[in-house]
Amino acid sequence: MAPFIRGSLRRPWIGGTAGIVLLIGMWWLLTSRMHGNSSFPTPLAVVRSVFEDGWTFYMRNISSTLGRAAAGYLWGNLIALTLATIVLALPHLEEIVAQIGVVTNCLPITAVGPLIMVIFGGRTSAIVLSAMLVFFTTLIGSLVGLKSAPQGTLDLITAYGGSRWTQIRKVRLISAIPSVMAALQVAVPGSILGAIVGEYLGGIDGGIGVALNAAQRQIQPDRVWALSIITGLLSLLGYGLIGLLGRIITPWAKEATR
Amino acid sequence: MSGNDSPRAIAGFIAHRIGLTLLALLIAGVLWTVILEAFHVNPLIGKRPWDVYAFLFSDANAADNRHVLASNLAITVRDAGIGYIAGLATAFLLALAFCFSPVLENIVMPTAMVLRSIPLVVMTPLITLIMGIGQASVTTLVIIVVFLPALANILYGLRDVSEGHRDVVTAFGGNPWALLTKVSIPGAVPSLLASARVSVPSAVVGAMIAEWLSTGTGLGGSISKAVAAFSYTQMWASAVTVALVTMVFYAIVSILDDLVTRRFQ
Amino acid sequence: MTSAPHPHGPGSGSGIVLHSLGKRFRIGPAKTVTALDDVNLSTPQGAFVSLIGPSGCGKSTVLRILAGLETPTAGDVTVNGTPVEPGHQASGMGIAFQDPSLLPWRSVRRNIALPLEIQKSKDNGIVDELIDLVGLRDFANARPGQLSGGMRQRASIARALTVRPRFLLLDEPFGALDDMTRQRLNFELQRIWMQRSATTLMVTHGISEAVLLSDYVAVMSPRPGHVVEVVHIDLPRPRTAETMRTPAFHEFIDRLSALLFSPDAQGDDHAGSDGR
Repeated sequence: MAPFIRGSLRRPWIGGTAGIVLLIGMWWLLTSRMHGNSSFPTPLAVVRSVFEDGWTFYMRNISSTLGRAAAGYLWGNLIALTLATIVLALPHLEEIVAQIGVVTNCLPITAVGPLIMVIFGGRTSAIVLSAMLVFFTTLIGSLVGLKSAPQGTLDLITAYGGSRWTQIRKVRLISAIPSVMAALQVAVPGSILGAIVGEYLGGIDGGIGVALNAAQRQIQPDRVWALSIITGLLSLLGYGLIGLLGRIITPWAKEATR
Repeated sequence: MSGNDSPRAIAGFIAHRIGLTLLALLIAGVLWTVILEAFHVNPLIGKRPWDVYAFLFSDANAADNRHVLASNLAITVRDAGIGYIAGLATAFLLALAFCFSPVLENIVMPTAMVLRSIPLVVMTPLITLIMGIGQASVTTLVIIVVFLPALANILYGLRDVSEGHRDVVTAFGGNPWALLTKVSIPGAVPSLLASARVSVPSAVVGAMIAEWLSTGTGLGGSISKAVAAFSYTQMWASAVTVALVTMVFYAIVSILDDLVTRRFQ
Repeated sequence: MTSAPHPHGPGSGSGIVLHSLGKRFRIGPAKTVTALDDVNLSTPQGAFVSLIGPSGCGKSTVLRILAGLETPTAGDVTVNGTPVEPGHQASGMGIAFQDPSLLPWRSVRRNIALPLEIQKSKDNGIVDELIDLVGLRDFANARPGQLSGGMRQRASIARALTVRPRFLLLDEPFGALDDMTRQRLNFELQRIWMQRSATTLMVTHGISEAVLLSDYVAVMSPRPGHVVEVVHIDLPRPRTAETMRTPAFHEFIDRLSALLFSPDAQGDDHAGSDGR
């Protein structure tokens, strides 16, 4: 029996489920013993609060947060991919562009957020923070991707009289896609984090960050937990969806690494 | 690039990196000014680089300003530093443990992935609810921020390097301890350093978010107080200082990382 | 270096001509390494020439210069009467590397068609013909990731032939394959080459592979590389597994081994590890 259990735990799906179940079990055990500790609700209380707050409450807040996250995701990726394209044309700029990425990555969002909020308002702040967190990931991912074309293939193009432009068109752009897709995937949770931090800072009338802030002030831990977990699941969903998209458009990416 | 390890080559490499960083900072400073001018931002709110310089170095109470900023910075660096080191150490040890027990890995990793995708701001109230307001919750938060990506990264590095080497040690009758000391730990060094590099900014961001939402101390706390008090120059100065300090630490770790990586190749 | 933008035509009667070829690489601010020094070689048009020598002797550099991928620092190169320099490859050149370098996102067919796309030439059915020739008809629409190592290498050879080359460059084309697959592909390569004879230069580590396929084997010395001796292999074609068991074949192998391992051309362990 024991080897059988060990064997099945080796399978990622079963092992993973066991891990999550274990986590929820521990949570339940821990919270059911602490009667009266209102700040640490049981899983049941959290689920109950989701139903009490209802569909409209969540839809309203989630959709406005996702809207800002999407705008930030778009802008951040657009700027990152534009810079990567410039590097593609002018390879000498690569190091300095990467270093500018590092500078933006070192800007603390909690310091930049308030500044943008007082200058441009809350909505812009949420979008800019979201874009900032996306920008670095995608920039580095694309720069790595553009360098990922094997030298042999590039030589081949040159040997048949192809120009640098032919190399870019036939090889480098396409071989960059897996790396870019991986970056776009990692950027999803980043964009949501940026939007929520922006909302948390204030100057906005709705969104997960706002609801979370309010729930904390009104001491509604059930709702704080519910919002947190749902946000985590949303991030994970976005992450998974982009990952799936990546696998669909680059079916060769996995094969090539063998 | 050519694997040249002479002191001169290393010095040249470091000088190159520092020059690059300074150039990037210059560009960032220019962008900062240009954006404020382009959007006609009110100079009372949108401070220019020279305003920040005056605040810190040439104003009448510049010394006081520096003192306040430095004491807040010290708290933030401590908050970020403790969690940074603890987070990296935990990730390293757990990744090594996973090498010996794939079952443990299968149980823990998916949960870690779920936790990783919960945004930081969202996690802060949860951690504060559980641990209360104080150093413990700040440190826990920074550990989580550093630990989760580092774990995945180090684990990947361990896998990548050691397959063949592991077989060699096992074939010569090496026990698990030999495997650990001869293959796994040296093999994980490059990915540990890579994680150490990317974790610098996340540790600072984690510490500042925790300070802002939980303890109210450090630069994270002082910035939100400055917002409320309309002390815009202090905000700008704090933001610039923390960004510069983060960059310095990032540069140190990344130069270290590159030097070690060059040796390994 | 001469620079003639137009081919002089194949009238000169010579295949590959290397004249006092030299190549130095910069490896530091004030340091250079001499990879090739006074390399001379002259072979008839349509001949199959192999270049063998110890690792690091510059064999691949010679090939890359012939492919127009590197600029020599001294001397000049003509192929089938046309001078070669970067940006001016010999007309009708096909090339295959040790790494098949297939684009992982393209099917076998589209990989084989790549040189035609680059040179904006018409297909005229040659791609299908080549797919048949290398025995990949059933895999024409598969991606490289779905093929075995030997099949990928065959696709790479087919790709080298799509431009109907009058000049073929092979850089250790089967170097990464196991011995049995390599042997089989060598016979296939001979069959294909005999059908469409092109001036060919192959770089290889394998002595027996060189003898099996070549009209001439040029032996190179360690760095700085130069050609020590050119051995004419006058075994009748097609050469078969039988040929490989004849005393004549073994005499060639012994002679080449002696040249490779003689005191003034001592190679490292790599050169002696295969082909015996």
